[in-house]
Amino acid sequence: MHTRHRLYGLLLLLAVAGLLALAGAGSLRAESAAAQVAGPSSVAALPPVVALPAALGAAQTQPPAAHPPTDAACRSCHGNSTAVVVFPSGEELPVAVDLAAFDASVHGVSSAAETGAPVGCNGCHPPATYQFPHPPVAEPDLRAYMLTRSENCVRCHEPHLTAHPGPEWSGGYDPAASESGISVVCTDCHGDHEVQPAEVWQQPAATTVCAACHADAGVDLTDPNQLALHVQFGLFGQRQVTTDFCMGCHGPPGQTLTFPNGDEISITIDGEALHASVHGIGNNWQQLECTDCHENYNYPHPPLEAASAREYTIEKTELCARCHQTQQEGHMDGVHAEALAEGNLDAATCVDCHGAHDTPVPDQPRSRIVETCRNCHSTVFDDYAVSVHGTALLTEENPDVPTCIECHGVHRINDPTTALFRNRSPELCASCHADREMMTHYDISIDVFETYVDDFHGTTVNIFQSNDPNTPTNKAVCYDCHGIHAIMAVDDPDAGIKENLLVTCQQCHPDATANFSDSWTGHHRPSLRDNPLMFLVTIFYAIVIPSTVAFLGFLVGTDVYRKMRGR
Amino acid sequence: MDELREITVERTAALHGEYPRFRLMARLEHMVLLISFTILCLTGLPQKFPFSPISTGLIDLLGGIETVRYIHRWAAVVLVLGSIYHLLTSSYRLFVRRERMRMLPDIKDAYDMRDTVTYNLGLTDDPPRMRKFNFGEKFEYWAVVWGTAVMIVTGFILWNPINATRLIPGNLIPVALEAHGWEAVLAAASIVIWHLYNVLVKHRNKSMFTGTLSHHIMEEEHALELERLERGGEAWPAVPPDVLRRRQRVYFAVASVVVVLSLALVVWLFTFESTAITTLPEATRDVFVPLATPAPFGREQAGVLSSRMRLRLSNEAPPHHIVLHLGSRR
Ligand code: HEM
Ligand code: HEM
Repeated sequence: MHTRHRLYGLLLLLAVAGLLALAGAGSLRAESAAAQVAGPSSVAALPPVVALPAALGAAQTQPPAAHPPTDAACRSCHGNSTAVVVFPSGEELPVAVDLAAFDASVHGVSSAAETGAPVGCNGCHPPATYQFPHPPVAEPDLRAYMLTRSENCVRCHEPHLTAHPGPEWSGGYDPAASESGISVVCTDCHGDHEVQPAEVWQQPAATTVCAACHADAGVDLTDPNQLALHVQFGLFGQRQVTTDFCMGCHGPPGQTLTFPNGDEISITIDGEALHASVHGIGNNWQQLECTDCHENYNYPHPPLEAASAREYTIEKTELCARCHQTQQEGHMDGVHAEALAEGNLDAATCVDCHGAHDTPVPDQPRSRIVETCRNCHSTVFDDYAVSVHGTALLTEENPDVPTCIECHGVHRINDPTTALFRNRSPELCASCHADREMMTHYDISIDVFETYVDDFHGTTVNIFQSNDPNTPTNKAVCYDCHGIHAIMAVDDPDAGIKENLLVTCQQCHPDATANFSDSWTGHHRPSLRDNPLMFLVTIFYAIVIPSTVAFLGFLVGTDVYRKMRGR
Repeated sequence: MDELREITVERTAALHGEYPRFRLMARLEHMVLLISFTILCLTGLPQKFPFSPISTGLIDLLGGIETVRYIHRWAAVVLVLGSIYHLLTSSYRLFVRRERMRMLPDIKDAYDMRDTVTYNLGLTDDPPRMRKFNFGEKFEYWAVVWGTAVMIVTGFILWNPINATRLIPGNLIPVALEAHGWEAVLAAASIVIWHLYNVLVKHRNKSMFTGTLSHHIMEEEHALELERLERGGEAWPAVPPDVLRRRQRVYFAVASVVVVLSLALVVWLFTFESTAITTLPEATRDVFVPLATPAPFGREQAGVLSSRMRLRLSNEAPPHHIVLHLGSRR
């Protein structure tokens, strides 16, 4: 579309130049001579095939060959005329142009360096429509006239009106949706005959134009001090809103947003943190822009739909899911999503754990994980923090001890109150405590799991596990004795299980007496040192059973032998 | 009564050309033993070897481990009652009928076993001539007596670990479990290899159900008893009615006391600790307890959370309580 516009512009220029040559008016002015010279070089820049339709297009828009208008012709009147155009609305527009200022503008003499010939009058006011004597204006009023005239600009320039309302061709959004209801067009900012180079717009002072217009239209500006950035990155060159554009408003401190229910949240974004986050430079896909998540966001923003800050947060989790689909699926199967579905708005969503804009690598350091869960589960954290696992993590960033997620999972966080979780929990503990390599570092026996399974509680839980893991069981699992989060060293003098074994047993066996707490193998394989009696019983049967079987088998064998001989 | 029964066995035997072998009370005992022992094995051994697919299948079939244990205990009660019954009938025969203890092993049993083996191997030409209970049956009997005693004692300990440990050291409990489990393996193996071979494979011996035994089997396994019966010997010695009645009076007086006492003992033993576990009420705790000041990590999070705090305050809604059930100790 825009390339076509630009092409048209070029073609028109060519056509004019061609026409001039045809009419033999080559000697008239230096400019047209330059255009003639420029002609072939412009054509050369185009692919040859395109050149042919160009000639055709020129033929079609060819005006009647009378009084070919030239800049010279225009300038002869418009330089110092006192005439005015009167619109049907009664508005008047002086026809005089400050020629010196025009020549100094970007469309003036200097533009020849870029376009081959100065844009001049004809560049914007094409001879085809500017015959002399001029036809009466078609537009009903001055504003309508300005709108139509501005459309000429996009023949050569990319429209970049993202942040403003404007006519369809301008790239602006629907004026009806804007605060003032009016369109903003090119000339409103850039002027008509005195167009400034882009650099001028990058000076903070240029924003006085914005400020003045906004004051006129009664539309508040966010922060006039941030406008330069805004204009520089938001309005020039880019059709899309960019991160810097957003940061124009969201960078300065103290920005807040108030929700219909009165919640007030900070909408200041720490740009540095965003930059350093997993979504910033560290992103192995690409550094994300604001609009990668906040898709289809225009300025001004569409009105808020969420009634409260929490609702807004929950609403926005789908943004994360667009890239993090697996995690989202896991999350949807987990307890947090379930609680949310049940209407508990406190249930954690993506950003509650990961942060929204400042999203650090979630497990670096590992203690970040437990601190994250702590935000909502502070009392559980307090238990964990004093446990063997917790202290090792929090004091020395131990790489082996479980954090919350090793047991509860990440994203797909299972309900720990189910029979299933309970029945499987011994294997969970065993995944580390039966790992020889890991346990040797800490001088912890790896027999604990197998001796548990061999013992009454463990056997039973295992039978449940393999038969129907969803059956509730009251037989002790690891955490019934060792604690759930506040797992202490077994020989801890205050809270260690060895000192408190009877109390531990009595949780489930209230009538238990002191002897009772010895009624298990104590996580030791029977040997002459540990449980010697049990060891001896095992040895006894290990001898008696095979020898009895062998002896009886021998007797039966001889009888079979007799029978075979038919005796 | 007693005479009537004996006559029936002897008459049936005579009718079919068979010889009297077991009276009704012995056959009843055997039936009780057979049924309870089989059930005990089927419900016990899968617990000993829980990881074999046969075990899991069996446990599943019987309705889950809790049911299996329930059945095991009831079968155990039957076994214990059967054992008491055996003690009563044995003492009746010993004290009232004054029968000889033909189950006691002696040196002839050792020779019989040796001779059986040499005969089976073809080293000697004639099989040993054996009495009413041969060496194999005596072995079987005493194995069951020993085994049942071990199983009852250790089983009782396992059933009542809490009360047991009031009397014995705690570490005997896993010892009892170990002994109970391996003794079960030993008993089951002996029954299958030895007893079932002898009564089902070697011969189809139905005497424990009919009470009588064929001439053929008698000749092979109890030649001396056969000879005695054919010489007109009584299967069981008769006691003069008046003597019998006098002895019975004493016996029933003592036995009824013993029965009542032992039944009371059984009821007491098996009910005073209905289960080793007392289930605690479900423990609950609030798990959603957000920090007032968020954890140091994540500035952004802080913003989110503090706004949530405010949200709750502004709504004046009670915080959601998430209740965590700490296990389900039923
Ligand atoms: C010959 C008869 C019996 C056999 C073959 C038998 C077999 C078994 C076996 C194999 C076990 C599993 C042991 C393990 O897990 O290592 C067991 C457990 C058990 N047995 Fe027996 N048993 C017999 C008799 C009894 C008796 C008479 C009692 C009770 C007086 C009893 C009470 C128990 C108890 C309490 C358990 C522990 C499991 C439970 O709580 O149900 N058993 N039995
Ligand atoms: C299918 C299962 C069984 C059958 C068909 C069976 C059959 C028999 C028969 C026919 C006898 C009499 C043998 C004789 O003296 O001529 C006998 C005796 C006996 N049975 Fe069984 N029995 C079975 C299972 C058991 C079981 C499970 C036990 C105990 C654990 C048992 C214990 C005894 C004892 C102690 C005797 C007396 C000694 C002997 O004759 O060997 N039986 N059985």
